[in-house]
Amino acid sequence: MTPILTCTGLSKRYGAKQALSGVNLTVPRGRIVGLLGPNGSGKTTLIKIAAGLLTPTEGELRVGGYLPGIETKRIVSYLPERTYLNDWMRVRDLLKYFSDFYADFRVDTARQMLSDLGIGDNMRLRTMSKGTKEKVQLILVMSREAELYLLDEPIGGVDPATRDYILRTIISHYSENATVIISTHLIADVEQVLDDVVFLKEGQIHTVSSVDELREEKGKSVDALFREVFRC
Amino acid sequence: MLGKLMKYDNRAIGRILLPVYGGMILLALLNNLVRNFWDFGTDDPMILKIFQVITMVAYVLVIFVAIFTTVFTIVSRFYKDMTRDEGYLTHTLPVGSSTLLGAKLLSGSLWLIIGLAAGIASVFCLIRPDTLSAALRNFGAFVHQVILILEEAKISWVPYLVEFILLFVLTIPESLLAFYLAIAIGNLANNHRVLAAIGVYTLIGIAKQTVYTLLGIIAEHLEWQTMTEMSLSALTALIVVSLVFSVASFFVTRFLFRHKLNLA
Repeated sequence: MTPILTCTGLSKRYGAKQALSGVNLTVPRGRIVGLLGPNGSGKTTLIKIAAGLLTPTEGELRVGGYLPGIETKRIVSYLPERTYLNDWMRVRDLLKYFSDFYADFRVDTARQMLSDLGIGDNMRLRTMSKGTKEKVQLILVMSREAELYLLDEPIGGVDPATRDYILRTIISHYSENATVIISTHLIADVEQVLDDVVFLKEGQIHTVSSVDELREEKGKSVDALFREVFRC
Repeated sequence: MLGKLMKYDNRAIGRILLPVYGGMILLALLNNLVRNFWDFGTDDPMILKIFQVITMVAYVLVIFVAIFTTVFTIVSRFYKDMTRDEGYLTHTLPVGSSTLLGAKLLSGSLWLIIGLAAGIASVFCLIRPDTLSAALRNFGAFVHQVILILEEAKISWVPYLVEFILLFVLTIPESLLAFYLAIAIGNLANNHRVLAAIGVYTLIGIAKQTVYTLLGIIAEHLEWQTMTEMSLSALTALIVVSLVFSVASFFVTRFLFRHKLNLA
């Protein structure tokens, strides 16, 4: 099966700052991939290029064989690291919004998950706490039957119980042949759910490996290895 | 997709503007009542005058508020949806940049027209029914007289009417596109994006005025057969300039959002 994401000589520069430099990467289908690196390593830049929010300075990135555009946005479900929904909307408005624009949106799945959390259809986003908003966003994103899920720091800034909920939701609701790319620097929390890891260091690929191979080869957890590689 | 985008834009804008327009019309009706039908159960002309002045001042203030709120809401909606946090949702929808921009332009234009219609409706609500029908009859008679005078002088009024309507219709999206282009260019800055957008908007205004002034200078140096020829040519030039600015603004804005998107 063709890989879901391929990067060839991918570079991105913001003025004098080189955010990504010559990234070559192939991500297969049906895997949960951790995109790991410290702050400023280029994780968000890579994810934004895949989501079609940034254009590369050099090289290219393809999703499902397509350059980022309308075709890729149909099959990519993206969760940014911030609240990006209209604050004035009610939950039922958001469900309708996602149904209107995404053919693969499973409204019943979303409604069930929201109901499990006690989030009613009539609630307005602006009345929710930060953690609840994050959960709503995650539920909407994971309720799509996408081929690629891009989750940028999905567990940053929330309490441990919410982190557990988020990770459980990711595992239990992504489509079977889909790939989930989770960008985070909270390795210990996500290590348990990852199949593969990609270490990004100063905009370049440092390591690409399956979690099992890495643990076997290095004899340590991904978290421990991360601390070693990115020691200050 | 265009229709769906417009649906949500209209909801976002309408929830703010409809109450303002409703308030404007209600105040106009209140003014009408106070001046023509309602004495508040008092014989004191001073108290009545005070009520009338207060309601009229409130109405005039609401007109200014409506104008400002209309423009501010349309422009800030664009700014937030296209360049701020909500841009992460907007720009990841499976929709092309032309459609995104087109939806914003059509929704914004629609609400400018609705605002104008609400303003006119409020003026009609301000006037007593019998005064209003008399005024409309007088206006109709005046227009008829003007048409007769023009026809006697063998001046055709139809091209003027068509060009004025065309110019009015073009001015609406042109004015919005100037804001959108300024925001798109301002968004390229790393800091102080709003200030940058204001600066760009000012420059766009100066550029347009420069073009109009140059056209005026050129027109002065040309030889015209009749006043009609000169005035119709002037209107045509304004229409062409407006069209060129609008098309250029649309494509540059689209290019910037497609290739130079810089969400914070």
